[in-house]
Amino acid sequence: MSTTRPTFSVLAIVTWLPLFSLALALATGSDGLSWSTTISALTGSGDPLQRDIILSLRLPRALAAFGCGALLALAGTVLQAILRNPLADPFVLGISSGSSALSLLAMLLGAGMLMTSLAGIVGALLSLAILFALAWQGGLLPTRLLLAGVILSSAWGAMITLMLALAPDAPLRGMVFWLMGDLAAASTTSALVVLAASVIALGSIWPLAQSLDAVGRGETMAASLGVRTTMLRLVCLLLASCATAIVVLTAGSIGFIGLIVPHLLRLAGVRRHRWLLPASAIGGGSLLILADLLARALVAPLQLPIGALTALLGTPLFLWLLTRTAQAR
Amino acid sequence: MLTLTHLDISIGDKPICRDLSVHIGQGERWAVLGINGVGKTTLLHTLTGLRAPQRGSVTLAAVSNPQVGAGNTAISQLPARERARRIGLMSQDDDFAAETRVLDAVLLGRLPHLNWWRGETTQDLDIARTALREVGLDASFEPRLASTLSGGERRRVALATLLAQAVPLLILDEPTTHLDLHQQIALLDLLAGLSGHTVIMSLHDVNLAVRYCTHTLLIFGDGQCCAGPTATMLTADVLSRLYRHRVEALPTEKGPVFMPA
Repeated sequence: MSTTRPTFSVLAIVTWLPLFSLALALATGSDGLSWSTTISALTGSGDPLQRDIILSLRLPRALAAFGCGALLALAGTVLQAILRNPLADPFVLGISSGSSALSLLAMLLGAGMLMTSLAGIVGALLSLAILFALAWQGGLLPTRLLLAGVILSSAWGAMITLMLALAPDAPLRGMVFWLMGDLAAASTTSALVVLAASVIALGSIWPLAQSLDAVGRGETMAASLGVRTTMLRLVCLLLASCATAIVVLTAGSIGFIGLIVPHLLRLAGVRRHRWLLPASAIGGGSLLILADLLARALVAPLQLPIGALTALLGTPLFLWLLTRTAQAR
Repeated sequence: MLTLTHLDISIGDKPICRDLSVHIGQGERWAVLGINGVGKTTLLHTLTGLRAPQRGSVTLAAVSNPQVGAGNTAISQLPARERARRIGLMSQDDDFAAETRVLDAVLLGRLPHLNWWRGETTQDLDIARTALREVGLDASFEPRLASTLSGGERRRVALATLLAQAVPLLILDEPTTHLDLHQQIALLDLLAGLSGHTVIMSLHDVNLAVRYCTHTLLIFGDGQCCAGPTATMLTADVLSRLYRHRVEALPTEKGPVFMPA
């Protein structure tokens, strides 16, 4: 089956990258890289304080980063397929910005963790409902959906800007950092929740891999091959929205992963969704671990916004692959 | 094979056919003729089961396939996947994503035969490769990206996808568009050589319809449709009315050739 499978080197990278990035994230602290303390902490010997830092601070944070990255990349892959648009990502449809906007509003009003999370969920669902109301016309047409999403997203964006402009100084810094993405608050519980969510998301979307391939050939073609396209769009949209909402609630809005990871993999030759979906999840997770690692280690003990780092990390990689494939043709 | 009963189809308030009843027998090749925008594609999509008629029904005869069950079935009653194992469509606007490889594109035709938990087997791969060879594309095309193909090559990949779908009823929407003279004949020869298969296709070349199609369905545009054996259906008078342009018949040894005046 030579041409339909990804190449060996891509498979090797996708298999080893998460292990490599996890190991690196565990071993790196504000005082630099230390393999020996990490190994002794993992095997149960060594300084109990170091052990505590590695197992209850760095490990949950790295796992949460992996889960969030996987969810974002999956959502991006699925949305790019059903909207037949390479620019689609979880942030284009306005679902994440709806979630962000209402969470910020809750923060501004001084609400606690729980209320802020609830507001985030309500925001995502509200956005989805508005999106359906705007785009439904006897079915979900990709262009209509995309247009409605772009408009919705800019409306939420305006609301966010207004809130930031009007916010008092005290909560402002926290709000801005949260907006740019922040994994510092990740606990063991939230790490397990996002990891479980990413496994569930991949498990429920993977059976639809072939249908997603078919949708790439256009509405008529997919329908004549027995794909129920409207149903597929509904399921995928719902799934991508839930995935995005979970990420926003755990780590704020982290852009670029959902857009870039599926592209990177496609440029590297992974084209069919049977491979692209799991590869996106793994690649997105690993990339976010690395981005988070840089965010906390680059100018330690200062923490950088992870959203800015994902963009900084992804852009040159993407440009390099783009020029490379352009030359190959 | 396919029976149309009291079929009414319209787009908006524009009628395509009214009270159309036709029986399409197994092994027959039908041409659908009519001017641009008259509703050929809409009719073909209705026959494929992609859209519901306003009135009437399209029923599929039982095939000797124990999995599908016996008796005539309205195609609207068939589950989408099962329908796709029996009726295939070569659409007019089959637009591959630019980054699709040719072999993967053709393999997609196997979709209705696959289960989600198992990918294509070597047998599916063989079917896809055979289909590619049948449309005259050799192994060097298999890894090519769709973006590097010419318009005519894309049409042939689309046809190969339909062949890989392995359906008894093939519906083709203007299959000869973008094809050069030799490829047009090769495609129609190929379709004519599929024994036992039923073919319905829209065409713009009347003489190809005469040469390759046993039956013809004419769409006049005012809701009126005529169907019957090609030899009796196609006369210069009928075609002149169909195309709203005078058509002359030139008698030759191989039968009449139709020419626009």
